[in-house]
Amino acid sequence: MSIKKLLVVMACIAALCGTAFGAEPPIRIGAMYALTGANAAIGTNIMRGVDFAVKMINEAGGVNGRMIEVVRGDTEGDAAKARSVAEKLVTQDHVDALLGCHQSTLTNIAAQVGEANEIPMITAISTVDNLSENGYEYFFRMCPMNSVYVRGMFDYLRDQARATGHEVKTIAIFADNSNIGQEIIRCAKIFAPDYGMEIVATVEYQGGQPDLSSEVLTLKKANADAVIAESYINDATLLMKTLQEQNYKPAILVAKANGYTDPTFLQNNQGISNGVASVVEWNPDLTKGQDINAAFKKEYGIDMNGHSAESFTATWILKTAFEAAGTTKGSAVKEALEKLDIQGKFPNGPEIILPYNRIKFEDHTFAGKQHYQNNVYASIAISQVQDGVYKTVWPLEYAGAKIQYPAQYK
Amino acid sequence: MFRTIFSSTFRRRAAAALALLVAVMLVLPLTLSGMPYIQNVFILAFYMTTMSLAWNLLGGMTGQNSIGHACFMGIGAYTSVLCVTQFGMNPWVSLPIAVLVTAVITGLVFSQCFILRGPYFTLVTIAFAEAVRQIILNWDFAGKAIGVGLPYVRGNNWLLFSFKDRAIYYYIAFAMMVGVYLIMKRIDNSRLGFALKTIREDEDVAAAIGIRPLKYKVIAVVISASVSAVAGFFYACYYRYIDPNIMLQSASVELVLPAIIGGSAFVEGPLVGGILMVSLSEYLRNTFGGILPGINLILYAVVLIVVIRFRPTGILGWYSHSAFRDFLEGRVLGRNMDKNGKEAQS
Repeated sequence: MSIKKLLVVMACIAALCGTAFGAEPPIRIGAMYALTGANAAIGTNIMRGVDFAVKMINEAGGVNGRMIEVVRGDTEGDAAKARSVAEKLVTQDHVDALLGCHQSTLTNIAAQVGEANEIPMITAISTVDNLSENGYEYFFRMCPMNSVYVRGMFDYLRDQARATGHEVKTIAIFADNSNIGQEIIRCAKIFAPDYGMEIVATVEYQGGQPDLSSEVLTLKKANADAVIAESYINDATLLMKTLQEQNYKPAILVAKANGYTDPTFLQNNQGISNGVASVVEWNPDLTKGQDINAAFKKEYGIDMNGHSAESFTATWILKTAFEAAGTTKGSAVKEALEKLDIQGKFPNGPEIILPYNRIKFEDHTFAGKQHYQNNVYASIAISQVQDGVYKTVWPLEYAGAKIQYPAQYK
Repeated sequence: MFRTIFSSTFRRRAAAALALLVAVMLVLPLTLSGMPYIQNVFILAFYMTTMSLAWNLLGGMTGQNSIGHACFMGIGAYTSVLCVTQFGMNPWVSLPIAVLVTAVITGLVFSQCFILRGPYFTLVTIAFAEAVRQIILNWDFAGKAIGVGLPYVRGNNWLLFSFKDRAIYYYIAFAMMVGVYLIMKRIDNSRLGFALKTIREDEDVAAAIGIRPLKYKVIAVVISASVSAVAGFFYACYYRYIDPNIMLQSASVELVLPAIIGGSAFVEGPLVGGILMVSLSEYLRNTFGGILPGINLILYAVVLIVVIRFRPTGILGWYSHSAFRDFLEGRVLGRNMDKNGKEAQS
């Protein structure tokens, strides 16, 4: 072997060693969602958003050259287990940030673990208002809180009058006695007077009830201009059937996502659901995020839903914060999140695909309560079932379709 | 007392082994100081075991199967959290109040329900738990479905019962479990215990020999509920956020399992079952839960079915007639046993 060859070989070995030793360990993100149990379907959709974002980030070179690795934790939808999962992710897997959870109680408990260990945590999904009242330093909420959902619904009721010419004066509320349902009722009572509307009936039913006849009868008697609804999927389907049976066709029925945007809702209610409107965090016909959804669909065979779009975005937020902090140290990443202000699109990344254009965590007050580190620019879109699919009708600038009035239930 | 402990080789060795075990449990958190997750598993196990011990007083010793124990725990947890958040009390002050409220409510309700026997009693416990859950679910004062939380406290604070250091929770939970176990052991060997066991075997016979079943059953349920309330207080202070889901039927069933798997005829049953089940469930979930969701639950169910199918009297039921016991207690601890497995009198 000539000296020249030897030198080349040595240089190659040195280069290999260099990359091997120089390659930094991946940044680890702990994702805490229900992967089994009653909420597993929801958790799976959320995880798809996280996985897809991480794949996209890593393919584009990661965070300053460091790859991102997702460590999953299955909460089973149980509060005590959520705490175990958070403890394990933080103290054994040494994750650098947390994403989670779905149910707000679990998020509240897991956030304490992040707080105690100085690990930043973002929730992309949990909407119960009181989550952001604790004053945790390391906890951030990206999604709108329930009161923002309800405010969006009222905005829709007001704005649709301009498009359809039918003003809404009276409202009936149909909600289950879950934490979300109860918050919808509470917030609607706060907003109604501001919008000059009157709540003429409030029907709070037990989730999973076998029959909703008397509830629908109450709604029918109240004969409000619009019905606000919140249900899990089984109850949502039962409501649609019962509306048909009793031949009650509220001109406007607007729901807070949940069961009404469940993938099976349209299948189960074909031919009786046209005209139903629902809040969506994201929808495939939104004028934003079309190419990302196309790639997502290629990967998983289905469209993104609101939850996967939200968890996708939250993962990008973490990436941006890690990049800005230049380190994975919890306190530095937290500071980066506090200062983060994303307008339009992520640096070296996609546009904000959700129906808002800015992400910034701020403290604010609502209904006399101090809230901390909420994404105050978060808002929602509203879609209406038209020809058997959800089409975005509000806010008008992102809308792909016109509002149909009155709802046909055909 | 010490004379009986040291009266034979077996007793001396058994006492030494027990002391060693307790010493290990006390030193453990110090060696685990860098692993709060493992400490957390132990804390959860101690809490579940305490609840199962409470259940076993009613279910095992008195033979009244309750599937509503999560509700007793829930009343305790809610009372203490509401005392703190609504009335500004100190958590420690809320503890006796929580126990008292739980004891009074269960005493009042169940003194009317013990006319029912067997499965009918079990149905009442289910109905009672669901009724309480529904009340909380619709009660503004108690936070309805959204739940209520204790304020977050930084660092270790004994006054507010909140610790950053898991080891402190570990010792408190351990002390709670051991304390409850000792109370149960004491009851087991007392007049009360014999009365309860007589009722379990035959209520009519008990009545015939002058034991008033109603009175003793109420005593049992009140003690059991009070202990559950203490565990509920601990749960609230540890997790610091509660919602009505803590009283779900499934939570009640989960508390029964350690006693059944460990051996509900034994005071030690929940102790063995609780530690085993919680560590098994945590181990399975954290080994498989993230990779193959659901497989951990399937494995857990398989273990449950196998134990119930082949050892219906629980692990201790098997142990008390096993060759392993002969080996452990006879050879290792030097016990003189007669052919019935009872300790021979020397």
